[in-house]
Amino acid sequence: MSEPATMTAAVPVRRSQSPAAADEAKAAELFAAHYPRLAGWIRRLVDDDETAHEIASEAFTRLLSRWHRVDGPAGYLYVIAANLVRDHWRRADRERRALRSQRDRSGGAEPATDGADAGLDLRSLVTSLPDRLRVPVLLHYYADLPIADIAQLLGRPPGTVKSDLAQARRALRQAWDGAR
Amino acid sequence: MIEWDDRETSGAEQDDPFRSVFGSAIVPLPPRPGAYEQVARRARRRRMARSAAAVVSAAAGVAAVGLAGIEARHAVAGHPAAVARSVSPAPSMTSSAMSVESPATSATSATSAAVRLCTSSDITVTPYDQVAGPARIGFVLLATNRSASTCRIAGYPRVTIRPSTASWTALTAAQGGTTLAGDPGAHEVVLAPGSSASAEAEWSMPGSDCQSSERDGIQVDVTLPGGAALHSEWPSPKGCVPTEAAVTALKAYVATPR
Repeated sequence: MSEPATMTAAVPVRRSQSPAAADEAKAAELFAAHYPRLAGWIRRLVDDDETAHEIASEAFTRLLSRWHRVDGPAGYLYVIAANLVRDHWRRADRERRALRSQRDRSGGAEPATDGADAGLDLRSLVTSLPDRLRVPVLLHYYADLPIADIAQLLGRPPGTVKSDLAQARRALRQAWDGAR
Repeated sequence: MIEWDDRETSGAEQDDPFRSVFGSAIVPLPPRPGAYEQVARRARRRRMARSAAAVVSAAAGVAAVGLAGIEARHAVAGHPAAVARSVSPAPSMTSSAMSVESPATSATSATSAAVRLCTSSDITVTPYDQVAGPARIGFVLLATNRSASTCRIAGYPRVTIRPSTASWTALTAAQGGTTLAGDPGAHEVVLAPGSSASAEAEWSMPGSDCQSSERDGIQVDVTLPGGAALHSEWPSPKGCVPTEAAVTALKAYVATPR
């Protein structure tokens, strides 16, 4: 498991700062501390750096726009990002289907693949999981968040999260075997 | 080739054999220059948009003026891009302002009155963006105008929460703010074809019973003004009884002002 992100004092909060300035400093500190790991996590789930940056920035924007009403902001970031990644996957899937359909109509050949991209295949299986199972998988196996943190974030008991992960593993295994 | 490991985890997270399936550790991706400033600017714009909506609806009962709508464009999540417009009472707090009727006021009010009410055949309700916090869970619901013409909708969704199999009494969500969302108050939202209004519903999951790993379900029924409805079922710890629930008023779906 990779090391969890730690807060850094990128922007110190001065005693004389106004509340707004202090919030701004805290926001900048949170961004500096968590952006690289969040974007790196997202990068594992999408195809390019640009998309990873776009999703990470959007997750931070949503968090900061609700700054005063969020408990545990770091975890909230991952939940937002997991939803955004899901939306990205759905959109990419629609585009792939449209391209395939267009190629079929024009009689074009299927692009060659090496058949060895297991990571991408596994990702497509994770995409097909229901929300209830997919989000814990993304947070636990891709983001390395501990079960206790995921339970807190999702408002589910730790035992339920473990049960969800076990169910997800079974579903992934069956889907993988069925696709081979 | 994926090497699956059939061993189940025993709760020791570090020993989870499934981890090897998901590959290597995270490689941090540093932000690009100016990324924080861009994010902070966008977040400020959204806060201002939300605050404006709250201020306007807090002044209910004063002379009606249209609140400028915000075009909903969301490049990342790809949500409806059409325009939804909130039509609310003016944010005026002074008697002089109350007595002034500007041409803009008449035009906006007339426009609003001329727009028909949305019915169940116009609106599709979908759950979007599950939200959760300590001891509570909820979701944002989107009401999207799927018809070919503009219509208007106002007020609060009726949200009823009841158990799938247990015996506790159904709970009706109170109208008001949730943990993450302030209540914009009841006001008209004018929905162009394809545009959406949103509301947030939430219910509590308190107490030790809600720590159970045994499963039950919670049925959530949503009915909008005009009759459009959504039935959904959510997993819930067995024996967990929500004691409170809340739902915000519908407001124009505001996606990212980028």
